[in-house]
Amino acid sequence: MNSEKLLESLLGFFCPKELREEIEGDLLQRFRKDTDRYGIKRAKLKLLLNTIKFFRPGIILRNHLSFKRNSMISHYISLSFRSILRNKVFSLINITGLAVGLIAFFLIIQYVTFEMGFDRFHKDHEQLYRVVHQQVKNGEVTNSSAMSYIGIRKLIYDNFPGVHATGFSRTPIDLGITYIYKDKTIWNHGSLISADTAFFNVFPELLLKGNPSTALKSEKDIVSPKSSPQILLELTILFMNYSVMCRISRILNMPRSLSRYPVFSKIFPRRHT
Amino acid sequence: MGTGWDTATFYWDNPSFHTYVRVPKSTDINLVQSRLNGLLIEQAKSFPNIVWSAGVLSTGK
Repeated sequence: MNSEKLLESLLGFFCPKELREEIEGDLLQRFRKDTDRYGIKRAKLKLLLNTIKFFRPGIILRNHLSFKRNSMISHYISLSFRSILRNKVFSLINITGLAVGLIAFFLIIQYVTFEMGFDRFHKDHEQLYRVVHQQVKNGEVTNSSAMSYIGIRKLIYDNFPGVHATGFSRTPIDLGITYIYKDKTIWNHGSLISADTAFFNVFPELLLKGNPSTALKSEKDIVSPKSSPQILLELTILFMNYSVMCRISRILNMPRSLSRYPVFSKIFPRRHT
Repeated sequence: MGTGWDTATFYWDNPSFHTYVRVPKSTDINLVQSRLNGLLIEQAKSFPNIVWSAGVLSTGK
């Protein structure tokens, strides 16, 4: 498409007929000057930009093609524009308020959607429950926490056949954990969590590869049927995406008190505490 | 069930663990909750460190 046709079709979208010829002439004159000065390629770009500059209310509102002059909508639009131009500060406050309100609305929707469904990615999530604690005094709940005693897990296993329970805790501080496989640093991550070996019985879908019943039985296991850095790296990346736990091959800088427990890394892309 | 923490002495010392359970389909969770609370009250008699008297199951919903 040559420049004149491009210009014609672009202006045809929004420019009224009575103005089009004059604007087109000016733009083409400018285009020829730009061609001599900057070359054809840059001149075309400038032509496009100069054409877009005419896409403004002063030109568009003189258009009789988009809306019928006596239609209700065009009447409202022209009234709105006049009102905005007449009361610029007041309109700015109103429009800003509306924008802020809309942003707040969408942020609240986003927040509520997350809070209502952050754990829905689990398989059969309706079968999954968290044991929380409530402090009760005189029949009234005075305090509550998402944390519970680790003994509850054993209590459940001893008294509720068929119910799987798992407990884990997360270190609140950055311990500077480095994951190494075959003397190669795979990943550095600060905090870690400690979990029991029943973890994958409760969250079997979080184990991407391997057998849930045998995974995590040894402290030096990797949760994968294959032992290769590539697999470990894949697991790590997937875990970062899906908020799941990963068994690692070796841990450095881990406190002695934690070393007797199975250790996992955990990423919380959308943290919920 | 795992064995990692079964020998730990701090079973009822400190409520500092996230505990999740997966129940079989068509389980009456209210029944489980009620019985668990009963067991916790019994447990509190042997372990006075249990200061919180009620454990409830929450779906997080």
